Amino acid sequence: MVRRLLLWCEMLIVAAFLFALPLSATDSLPDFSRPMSEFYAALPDDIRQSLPEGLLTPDGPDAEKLVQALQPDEWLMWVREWLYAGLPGAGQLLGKIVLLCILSTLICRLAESFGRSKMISAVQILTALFVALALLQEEQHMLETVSMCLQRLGVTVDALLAVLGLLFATGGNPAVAASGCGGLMALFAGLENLFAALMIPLLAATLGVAVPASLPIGRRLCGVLAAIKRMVAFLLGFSGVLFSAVFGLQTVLAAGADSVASRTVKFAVGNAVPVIGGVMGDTVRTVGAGLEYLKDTVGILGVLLTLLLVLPPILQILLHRAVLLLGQSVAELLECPAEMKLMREFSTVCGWLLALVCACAAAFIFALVLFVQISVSIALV
Amino acid sequence: MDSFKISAVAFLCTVVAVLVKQYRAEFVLPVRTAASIVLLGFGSALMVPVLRWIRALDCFAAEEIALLMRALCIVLLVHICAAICRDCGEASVASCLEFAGRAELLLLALPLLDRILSVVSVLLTW
Repeated sequence: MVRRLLLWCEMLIVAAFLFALPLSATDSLPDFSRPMSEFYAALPDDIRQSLPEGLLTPDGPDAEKLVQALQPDEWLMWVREWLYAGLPGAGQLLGKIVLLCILSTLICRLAESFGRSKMISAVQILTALFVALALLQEEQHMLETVSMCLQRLGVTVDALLAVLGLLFATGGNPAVAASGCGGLMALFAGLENLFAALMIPLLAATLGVAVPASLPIGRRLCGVLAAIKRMVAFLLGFSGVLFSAVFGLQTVLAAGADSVASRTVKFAVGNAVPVIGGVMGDTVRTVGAGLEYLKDTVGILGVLLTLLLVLPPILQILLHRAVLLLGQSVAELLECPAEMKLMREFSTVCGWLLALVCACAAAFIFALVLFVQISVSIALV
Repeated sequence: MDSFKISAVAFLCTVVAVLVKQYRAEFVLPVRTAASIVLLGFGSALMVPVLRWIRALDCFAAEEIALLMRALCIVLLVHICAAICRDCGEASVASCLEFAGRAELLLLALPLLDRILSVVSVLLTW
């Protein structure tokens, strides 16, 4: 009884949304050029330039170009271009690390021929500081890149969700538009705030503390470093739980709203709306199919844009991590313990940065795929 | 075959020092110092190609190489002088010399520390 009452209440709310929409018996799609142009304007310039020419049309993304852009050959070409762009910098950093390790070992071994003294540890600290400076500057750049990537992802996601929400609302699914877009926006706002306000500063603090903790004079800071690392690990785990919870809730809400909305539209078309009830028939199906097609292309474009936004930072971090791992091996080979520890800590931070970007991208792609899977109600009529 | 020449010079210097010690002990120190300088000169001459090779790599880290070369000079000089002082029984002078050397190394590292601290302060105020 209570369930039926709740169902009726839901149907009433959705019907109120439906009556508020400008519905009319037409076999053409409503004009989406304005929201589309607003969405295109929200895209970062470099991302827009890297998309194939003619993909972004005023009526929505061109499906043929979209399929072409998703070809593995295209992606391999992009990945190769990004890697080629990042390789000189990575090579120079690796060269610097190797050279500094060699110099450190050379000076220490030469000095050791006159017997061990504290002068040697002073030289070791000096070379470790040089390596630390080079790595810190690079890591700062990485943090800025990741922070900017999350920010840009947030802006693109908001613009994309606005278009998808409008499509669902026009298609007769205002509840899906409200619950789905609301859920996704909440998820992204939560993740973005968690990462921007907590994770990035914590990672920056880890880098700051890792420098003295790696030196022979700062061994006592290892405890502080371990505490910060535990905190970061906890927050990463917490963000995973938050993501799962919001994602699950959004799935339930969207599925429920979809079912209620489709029944409401059937009811409205059949009985309650006299103007469209008898006239719409096949034309409504045509509009629904058009909306479905547009929604799918916008959804795929969303996935494509997410990949384009997150792949360069991911490749950059992977390249930097590879440099750190190679440098670590060289430092181990040349018996430079301070440099080795420094690179190990920085490599851990790189791993966390990678996890942040991947978590954000995966959250959005999964949610978007789920969102696109939900049909617009008109198509179900 | 520089090692033969260097070994011969070292052996000769040791024999001379032992002989001089038997007749005029006060001349041992100048002989020892002269031998150290000659052997250090040989060693430095051998290091020239290595240093030239390191200099050729300054496309990676010119500033760092220049500073580390200065550090190498300081370390070697202080070590040798401290060893001579200890040979003469002046351990306290040797310790003071080593302290001065470490202070100079710290002075060399100061601009570097300054730069690291500025990057760390930016990171900590993120």
